[in-house]
Amino acid sequence: MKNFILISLCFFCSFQSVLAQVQNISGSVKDGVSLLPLDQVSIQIEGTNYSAETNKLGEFNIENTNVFGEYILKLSKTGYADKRYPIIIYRDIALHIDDMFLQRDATANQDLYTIILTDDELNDDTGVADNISGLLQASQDVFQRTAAFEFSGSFFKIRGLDSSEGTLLINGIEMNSMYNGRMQWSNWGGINDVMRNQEFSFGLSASTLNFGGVLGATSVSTRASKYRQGGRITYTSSNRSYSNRLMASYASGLVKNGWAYALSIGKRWGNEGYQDATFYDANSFFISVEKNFGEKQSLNFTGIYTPNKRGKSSPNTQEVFNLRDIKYNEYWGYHNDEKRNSRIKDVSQPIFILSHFWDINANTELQTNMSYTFGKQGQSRLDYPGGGNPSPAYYQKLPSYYLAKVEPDYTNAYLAEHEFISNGQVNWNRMYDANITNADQGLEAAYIQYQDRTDDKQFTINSILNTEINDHILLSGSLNYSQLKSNNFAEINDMLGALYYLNVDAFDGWQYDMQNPNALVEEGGKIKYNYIMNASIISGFAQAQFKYRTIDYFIALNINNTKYQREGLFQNEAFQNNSLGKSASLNFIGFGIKSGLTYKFTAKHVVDLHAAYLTKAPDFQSSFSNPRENNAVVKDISEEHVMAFDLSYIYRSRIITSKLTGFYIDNKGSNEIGFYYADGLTSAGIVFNETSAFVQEILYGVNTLHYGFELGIEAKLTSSFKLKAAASAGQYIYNNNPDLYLTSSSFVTDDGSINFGESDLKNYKVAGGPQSAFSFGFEYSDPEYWWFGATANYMVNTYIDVSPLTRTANFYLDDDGLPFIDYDENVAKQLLKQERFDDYLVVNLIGGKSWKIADYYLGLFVSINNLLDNTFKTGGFEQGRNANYRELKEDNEHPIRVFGPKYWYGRGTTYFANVNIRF
Amino acid sequence: MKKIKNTNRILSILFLMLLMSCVQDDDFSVPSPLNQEENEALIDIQKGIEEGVITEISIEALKQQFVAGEVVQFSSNSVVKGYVSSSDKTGNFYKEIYIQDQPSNPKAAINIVLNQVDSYNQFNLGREVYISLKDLYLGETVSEVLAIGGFEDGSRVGLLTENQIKSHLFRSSETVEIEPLELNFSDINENYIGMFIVINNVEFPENLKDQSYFNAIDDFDTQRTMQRCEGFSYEEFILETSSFSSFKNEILPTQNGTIKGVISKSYGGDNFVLVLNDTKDVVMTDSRCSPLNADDFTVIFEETFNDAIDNETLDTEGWINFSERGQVLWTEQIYSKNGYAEFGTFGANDTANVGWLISPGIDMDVYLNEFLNFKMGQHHLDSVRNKIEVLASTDFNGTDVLNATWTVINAKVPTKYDEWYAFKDSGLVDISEYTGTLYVAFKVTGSGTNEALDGSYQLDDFRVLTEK
Repeated sequence: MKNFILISLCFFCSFQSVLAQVQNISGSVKDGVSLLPLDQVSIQIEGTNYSAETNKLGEFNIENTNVFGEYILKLSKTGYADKRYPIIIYRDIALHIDDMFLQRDATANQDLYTIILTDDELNDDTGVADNISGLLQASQDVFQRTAAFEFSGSFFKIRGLDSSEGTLLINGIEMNSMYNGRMQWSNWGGINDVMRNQEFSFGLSASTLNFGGVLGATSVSTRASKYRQGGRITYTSSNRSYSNRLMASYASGLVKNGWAYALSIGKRWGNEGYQDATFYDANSFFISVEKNFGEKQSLNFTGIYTPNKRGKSSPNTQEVFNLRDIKYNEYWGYHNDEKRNSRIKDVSQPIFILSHFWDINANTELQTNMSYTFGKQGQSRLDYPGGGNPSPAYYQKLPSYYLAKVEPDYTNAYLAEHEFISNGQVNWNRMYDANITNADQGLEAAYIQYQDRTDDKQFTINSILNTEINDHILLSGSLNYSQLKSNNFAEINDMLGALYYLNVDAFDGWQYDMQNPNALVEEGGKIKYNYIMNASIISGFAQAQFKYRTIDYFIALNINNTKYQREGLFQNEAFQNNSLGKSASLNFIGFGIKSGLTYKFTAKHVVDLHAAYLTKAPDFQSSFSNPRENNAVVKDISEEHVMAFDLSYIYRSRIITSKLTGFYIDNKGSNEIGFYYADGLTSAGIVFNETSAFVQEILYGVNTLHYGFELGIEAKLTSSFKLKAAASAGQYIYNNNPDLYLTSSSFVTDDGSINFGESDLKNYKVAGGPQSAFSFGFEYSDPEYWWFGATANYMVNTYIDVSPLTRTANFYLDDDGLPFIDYDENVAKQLLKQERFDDYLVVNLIGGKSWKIADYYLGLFVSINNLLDNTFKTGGFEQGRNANYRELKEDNEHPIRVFGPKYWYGRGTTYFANVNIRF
Repeated sequence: MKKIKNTNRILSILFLMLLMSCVQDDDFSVPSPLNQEENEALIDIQKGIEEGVITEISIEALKQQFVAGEVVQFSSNSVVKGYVSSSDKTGNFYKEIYIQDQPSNPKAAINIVLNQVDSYNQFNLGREVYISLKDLYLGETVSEVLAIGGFEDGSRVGLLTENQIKSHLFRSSETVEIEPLELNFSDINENYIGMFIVINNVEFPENLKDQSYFNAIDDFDTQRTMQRCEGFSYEEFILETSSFSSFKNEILPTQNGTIKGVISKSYGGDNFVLVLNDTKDVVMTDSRCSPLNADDFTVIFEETFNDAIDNETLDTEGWINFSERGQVLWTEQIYSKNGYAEFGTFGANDTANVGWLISPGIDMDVYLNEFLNFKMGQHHLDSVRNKIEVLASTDFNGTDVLNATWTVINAKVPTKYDEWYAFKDSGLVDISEYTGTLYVAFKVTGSGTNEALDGSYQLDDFRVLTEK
């Protein structure tokens, strides 16, 4: 096999050289308005590897081409609209085209529109709101841009993949979180102007910096000398996540002595986003300084600091949405006369990156980066060790609770409904009163507000080498080392008038820390849990890319070693021997191989094929079953396996650009961990006579299958009018029946876990946005510098996240291990059917105009999302409460379900308006 | 160059703007005024009382509005004031609070049932609370405890809703120390329900050693027996603990001492029970007690009724069996080979019965320290009017019962709350004050036609003792 590859490589090489003939294509490009020559315009013969860039005089020359016939010459430059000229190349006749014109692209501000989606990033505990749009913003592909701009408000996931399947690099440093693999958009939000130099390699295609994920890799460069000299001030008004945004940035370009710098500051704020009381308060600071040492070497320092604080919003049951509306948020209440949110996400993690660029010779570049990130991430919430559940939507406060009684209690149902509609918010006064009442008696807190904190310190170093062996062969390689020390704990951030907090589990009386029993903790003190997560990754990557006239191919290899270790700082009484001190050290070896082939039948018809096989370490989150309380590791833990293929057909004519892709991704051996309060546990192993407990649910050895196709078509009917269509139709399903076990401090088994055997998940859909999405729209771009566009997007097959526990034998077995006497399989089937949300239509409008006033450019950009104000569910999950047949059946028979699923609704009509001045 | 200057100016303005924050921040102080509505409502009530628009009634008066078996709704504009005597801090009480009329030496107490958990952090122990009664209900709970509630739930009173709590229960700023009322087990009756009391010289039986307050085999509540030494035996009472209490797994103390708690009734209302607010109220550090030992005493006189003939009219030698009203006399009974005396009016045709059983005369001049001791049980006792009196006379001439001078002897006798057919020790009753010839009489009042008054009293092991 090896020999065969070598032989074919040689065959291609010789084949190419035999056919080589000499041919020159040259010309010049000018600005369509000022008629001044344009430099740095990229010129490409589409469907070939031949390309060039214009010089200061706007001239270019592509030498030594050896293609003949009809081709399209593509001209592109940042800030200008692409232009495609049809050409015919004759043998032995040089081609020269003078004075091709490029028009300023009024739609160039569109990226602002994408970035707001990453601003929205909720990144909730549940992860349902994971957003991939930021990954795609640099893409030119019609389908990917549609997915980023039009679909992401619906939490559409490309190929059904989570953002953790993509890799985000800033100056070559991987930024995905080691905890859950996801991208932490909030760590670099509000500095859009300086995050614009991006390179994107989609899916399994080759990236010169990194092996990348199955979804691809985006690489952001903040190298100061690469910014265009000038500044920009932007003001934005919106009713989505923030109300106002103000940003300013300035780049010096290369100044004397080889220095260059870029600065950006930004502020995003608002008292309320689309959901009630979701305030937004974010500041952003960015600096990048570069010093060139001669021609060959330069050193760049980048600092990014974007403290971000925002109020979260709740998923709700249908009952709650019906009583209130889709803006309802149960997390807030009036404090004096101010809306106060009880759940705040507070992130403050500066990033420092030092990069060394070294052009060893004309064909070889070596980039070495060091980065250090530290800071804190906090998510606050209320704790009620000595009081009733403060949630205004607690099930016992809703009408359904009273209607579900054996004899429906209509009076109280009515009163509850009335109360919820008029007062259904957090009652801060009552909590303060309770604490003050207790304090007067010398008693501990009934309520507090605390933060789940993650304080990280991460150090990364890597070196990336790129060398062109010749015009056809590019070798890339990198070595990376990253080390993370993450302290996770709960910290009191508001005593709410109480004297102190008793650090004991109020639910079952366990000491949270036996080293310090019955500790009375005050504001700023650590409670509940406290542990350190140590992680390190060392990885290497090597890749060879070959480019020829009709065929390109590459092969990339990756190997990595991941280590995790938990170190408990609290000794939890429920896990006395397994909570304090260091856990076993987990060690994972991952390797990956991917390869791709592009065959150009003609310039119009191109086929692209990719394949990859990789094994990777599970992220920290799915390695430890309950890291807050103990050192237990998920059973049978090992690397995940991914096999992925895709095949694309690309067709390009003068008018039409299109791409059709089929994909197949087979994922094996991942783990899913959930936390909830379970009712209806019928297994032995729980305290006598109890059927409910707060549990950790561990689903391990999960296989999923993702397959489908993607289509993107763009038809440029005139130079200013373009039709766009995109579609993605997929099936993302569970492909096996993984094993499930629960752990809980309430379990009396030796290891605190109960095995529930297989969860019959096979063929259930993997939740997370619509599985199919279709978009159709147009864009009109007037030569007078205004443009307008509209799209209609139709979302199909959005599924609820099913509860795996109800798909185990626990569902139909009674205490005695025999099926419930009244078990009816037909009813059960009905109960366990996965809810599919209604399909829905979202219409979006965008438009803008730009002006040139003296040396300034003024731009205006407006977008309106969900113009028709359609109401739709974007996601949801089944509550783990009614875990068995009898309880679930009973709950379903009630007039309104007490423990029905919780949902997220998409936003109604929202706007985003942006003005900016460039100079 | 000028452009850069402008830029700098703009940037510095922007920088200033960054420093100003205009959204929610972390620094929240205690909301003020806190509980404004409640305070205003209370002022209105106090004003209303002064002006006579609102009537303040006592808990005692309130309880008298109860009609057995019914739930009554308050229609008048009246308020009742009380001091919280229970606390659900430990989870031992659930959705109920008790209030008593005075912080010390209370005369009456009542239950309030409300749909609120952890009410201790609002209606804390000792808090002065006003209840605006209009539209609320008075009735019994499922434990047959008289309570104020929010609605009529069949023949029971239902929980106050969150809204009703807000509009009817008002706290004053006053929290006082509740001084526990000192009681003996045998004193406990209906009237003490809801009061915070203290019992001294209590211990748990030896067979409960190493047991916890809650027994894991129970579903909801565990009843643990407490005992006190009384005469030649133990006097017992029930401590009831919920499976939801935070101290349920604490081990019962093994020593003797005091216990403070709230008197209540078990589910269904069958027994009086003591319910703890907190195990801090259990202080048992003294050594265990022992009941009196018969070997330490000399028997001066003893009657065991062991020559009884079942169901015959009592004719024990030397005893006088006399009916003051009606046809019923004391009888001789045998159960499990044990003979005893019994007086019961069930099935008799008399509307009123008064029956006397008088001991033979006892010479009180031979010894110095004489004590009386007997055992007594009951069955089918329903009312305090179906009573027994233990009386003494030194001027009784042996025949004329009604013309002799009879004084009451303080001995423990069974009440309707005691288990049927269980003989209970009278305690050691000091009778050394009497001289001459002493007659002891047991006088029962009942009825043969009134079902509430046709219970029976049983007497056994009548003894007069002196210390060796």
